[in-house]
Amino acid sequence: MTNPVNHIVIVGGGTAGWLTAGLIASKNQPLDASDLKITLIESPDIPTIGVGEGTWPSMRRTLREIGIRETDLIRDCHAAFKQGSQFINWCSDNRQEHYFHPFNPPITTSDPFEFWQRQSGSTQSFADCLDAQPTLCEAGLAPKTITTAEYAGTLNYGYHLDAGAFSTLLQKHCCNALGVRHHLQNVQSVHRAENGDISHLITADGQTLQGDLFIDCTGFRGLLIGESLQVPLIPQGHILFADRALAGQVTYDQPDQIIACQTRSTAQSAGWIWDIGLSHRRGIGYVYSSNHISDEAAERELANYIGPGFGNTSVRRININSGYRKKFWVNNCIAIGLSAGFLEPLEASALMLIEQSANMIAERLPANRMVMDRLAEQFNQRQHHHWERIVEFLKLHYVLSNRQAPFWQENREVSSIPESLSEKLQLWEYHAPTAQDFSAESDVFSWISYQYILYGMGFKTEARPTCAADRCAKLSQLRDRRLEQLLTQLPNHRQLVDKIRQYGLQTV
Amino acid sequence: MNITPLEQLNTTDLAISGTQGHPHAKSRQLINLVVTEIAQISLDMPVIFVKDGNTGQFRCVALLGLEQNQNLMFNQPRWHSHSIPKHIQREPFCIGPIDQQRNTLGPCIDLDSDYVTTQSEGTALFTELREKTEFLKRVEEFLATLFEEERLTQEFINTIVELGLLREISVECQPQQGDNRSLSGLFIIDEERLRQFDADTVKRLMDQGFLNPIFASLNSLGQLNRLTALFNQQSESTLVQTTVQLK
Ligand SMILES: Cc1cc2nc3c(=O)[nH]c(=O)nc-3n(C[C@H](O)[C@H](O)[C@H](O)COP(=O)(O)OP(=O)(O)OC[C@H]3O[C@@H](n4cnc5c(N)ncnc54)[C@H](O)[C@@H]3O)c2cc1C
Repeated sequence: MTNPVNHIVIVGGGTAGWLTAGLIASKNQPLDASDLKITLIESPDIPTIGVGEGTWPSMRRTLREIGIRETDLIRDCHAAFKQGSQFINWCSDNRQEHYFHPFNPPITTSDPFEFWQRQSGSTQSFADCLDAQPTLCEAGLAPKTITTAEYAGTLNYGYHLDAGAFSTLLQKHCCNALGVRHHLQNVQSVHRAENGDISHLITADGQTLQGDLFIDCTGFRGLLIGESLQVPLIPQGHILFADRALAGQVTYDQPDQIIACQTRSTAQSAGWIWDIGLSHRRGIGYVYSSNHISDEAAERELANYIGPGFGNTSVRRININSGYRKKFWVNNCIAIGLSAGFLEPLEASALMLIEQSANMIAERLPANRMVMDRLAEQFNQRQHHHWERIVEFLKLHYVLSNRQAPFWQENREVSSIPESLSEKLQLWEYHAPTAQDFSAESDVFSWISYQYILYGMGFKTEARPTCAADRCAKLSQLRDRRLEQLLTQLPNHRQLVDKIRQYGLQTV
Repeated sequence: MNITPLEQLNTTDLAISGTQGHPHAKSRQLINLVVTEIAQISLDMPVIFVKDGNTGQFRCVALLGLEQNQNLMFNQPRWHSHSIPKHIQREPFCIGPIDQQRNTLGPCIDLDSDYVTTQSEGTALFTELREKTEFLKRVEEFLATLFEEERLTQEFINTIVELGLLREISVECQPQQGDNRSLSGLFIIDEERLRQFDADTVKRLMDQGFLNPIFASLNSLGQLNRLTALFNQQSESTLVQTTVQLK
């Protein structure tokens, strides 16, 4: 049982596989000296999912740790900056309204709601009241300048990037700089030892691949965790109804067209459309519930959104299955990425969870087989907690809507709302969310994120105003001064991206 | 600015005057340097690195003032330094694009410069026979050398950037009264990193002629004291001290 872990086999070469390989490999450089071998095997003919183009700010740390230059990311992956999400028409049917969930921390992190409550006589939106970022985003400005070092920002940011090119960039770096071995082969069968562990894989060309730890990054298929180890998915479709996505790519009309610096998510009759701006094209797609709209009607809504450009767009349909595994780590096998589960990409949390999982493994890479079961228990507990929290947070966006189409009405039926969320909503009618409402180990969506959604969507909390008037005045002054300064300091987003492509950013 | 290639000048009664003391530099806080003059200049003023606001690329500069648009080294009509950076000396001449596509660089003149006159009271560029004067020939030689030095400077900067030799600092100015002011966005040579280099790297830097400028720029930080003294002589307020803060 004390067999040391010397060989890690990762199956699957999508973003999950390569991010995991990169994070584990970079923490154990050079691999030979750590007596570690990392092999990534991927099918030469099963394509990667090819979507998943919005990241969290956590990706900056991840890429820096892996050792990839931000300049290369911007150039090779046509990446642009993302400063948050904008939700359009989510609140009701008839108004042209929108709200922001920005990445930048609010100007006060002790009492944002109380500050806004004092101020809301001025009819300012919650997000605008708390930080300059939404206004700067809408002005088309970037979160940094050409003289800002790589991975540093004046404002907090993540990325919009080309998923396919991203896998390729990660692959090149993992293989050339970090010593990860790469096999292009189909895994034909998975073989298990008496204790249930995976002992080896057999590939289509008849080779045997042994390993001590297997990481399943085979996408929706879940070849190891599902097909071989038979760990079921816990379905979440009764809470989050979307089960299809139509994904397309639209080119810009003009080469100097503005690149949106936020993911735009626009509510539709039976779901919502994402709109992600890269430097050379936009990625646009409709996430919908096939119980509430036909594929043809969904395509028409997407066509409507895209406008005349739709004629040249090839659209791909992806079936999605909301849910996550009952366990993510069993025996010597860990599922990361789509094989672990999937929830609609409303807050682009999938890549973040991949980074999170891979980091957790890399930080305490099991020394031997004996410690694995205990580490697996910790891992499963933590991951379950994350998935539950994400389901709850995504559902919040639907529960607060006042849209009337059946899809939206059914989303508000009590039977579809997790009890933990209903209880919190009752509390929040009288008390704004604080850290106290969440268990300590949660670090996916903070209580501040909840406030952005709640008050962005018009939720009413009847709390006593507590932010002292003079403090309020000071805070708003600070915010306005910052806004004024940044409006002149920060460059146009498109111009900055073009400049980085031309000159590059400095590492210091 | 009206940058015109010298070759394309179609008037011969151009003359240059008033360059004595280079008064155009009176409010220049930062001046680009070429690598070959770093050692000289470092005896007079701090030699540091900044990022170009337009391209983000590093430039090597002399720091001449502690406030924006302040040149403490030049106190009309004289300079408090033994040498003057070449990019000041060259005015009103410069190296600029000489073809339509702006791809080729060559000797140019800024016809909008105050130093350019059309009367015959300055130093003429052309003789009555429409030939270049000795003065213009010397200018062209100076610019040709400068062009070569610019290329070498780019190589120098690329080398130290690739070696990760630059680190960010700020210069903190502590006045007798009021809050500290700080100059940010400045970079210097990372001494610790330099010390970690193996013999081969150091040898390579020496062979390229870059080791001396690297040390010269490091040592030139002591000139901040000189800038502080000049500041106290020339301005109303008084600085107690000026210190370098590592970032
Ligand atoms: C519509 C949609 C939108 C999304 N938007 C976002 C977003 O904005 N932000 C975000 O963070 N995430 C988003 N996601 C999720 C994101 O795309 C995925 O989490 C991410 O791409 C990881 O995918 P993966 O690597 O797990 O799987 P895949 O990309 O499917 O890769 C699977 C890999 O396994 C290999 N494989 C499969 N079977 C075998 C076999 N038998 N032998 C060998 N190899 C095999 C394949 O060749 C492939 O390399 C979105 C997902 C969808 C569906």
